[in-house]
Amino acid sequence: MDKKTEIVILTHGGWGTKLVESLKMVFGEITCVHEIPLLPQYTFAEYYQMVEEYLADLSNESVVLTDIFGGTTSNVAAKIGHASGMRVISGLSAPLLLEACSQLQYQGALDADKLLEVGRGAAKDVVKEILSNMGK
Amino acid sequence: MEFVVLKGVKDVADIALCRIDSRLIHGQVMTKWVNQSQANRIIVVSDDLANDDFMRSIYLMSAPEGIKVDCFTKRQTIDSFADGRFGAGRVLLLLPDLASMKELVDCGVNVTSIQVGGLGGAPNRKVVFQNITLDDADAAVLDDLSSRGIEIYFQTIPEDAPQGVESILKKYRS
Repeated sequence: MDKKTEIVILTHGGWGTKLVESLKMVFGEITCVHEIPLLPQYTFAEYYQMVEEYLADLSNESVVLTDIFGGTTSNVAAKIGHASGMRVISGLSAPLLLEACSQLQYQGALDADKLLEVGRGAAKDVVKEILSNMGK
Repeated sequence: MEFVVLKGVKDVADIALCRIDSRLIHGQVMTKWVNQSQANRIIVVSDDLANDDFMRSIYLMSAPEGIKVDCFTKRQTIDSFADGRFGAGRVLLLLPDLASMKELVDCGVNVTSIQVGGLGGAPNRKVVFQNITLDDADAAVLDDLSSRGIEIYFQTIPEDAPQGVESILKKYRS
């Protein structure tokens, strides 16, 4: 049986769950996202084992989205991604997660490079963008 | 009139802070301690990291801006200390656990004060302060080091009140 492709999110404290719930307001049903929260009492080793175990059952086409570069969430994912080739993108945000869900639902696959682009572009000067669009 | 010329006195580093934290350099915690201690250099003591380029790179990248970070094995740390106390500067010495600290002290790295900021959890460990846990082996090391006159206190971030080792050990053994 083929391994499943999922979007796995790693956050300090589990705020990703709330993000997913909230995004259902704009996206509808979301079933392809799984969160593994980092709780304050976990050591690197414990968290690494939890995440590695979960990711081992997924297709390598899955993508891990982490909250903060340099945090234990990203560091654990980096160690695993470095070994397996699975892509890891930090800077979890609403636009980034929406893009990932769209890709999986409408294209059946994840494009990590495109995700990186969207993640980077997530912060905009709102009024400026709107005004510049009006000028076109 | 005679002048006494001091020759060959090397710059010696101040150990601005000696901290034990199983998470090593992480988040804003290290930035706070660097600022508070006025350290301009971090020495991470870890045989694991010294021997793993990728993981070492991860930890070095997390260091606060503008601060020199070195990663030494325990042996390198002991030798560097013996050879001139790490050279110039104000050093934040960072170790992952108490066993490593004891090894360093046993081999001549004489720190006067140790800050315990984070010790990882595992089933047989007991919580003594916030997210710091101890087991019998760690408690024995704390007894040993404090009996040598080394000040030991528990503190996660500068905003927290430090807890002395006696009260921590009392809690552990209660």
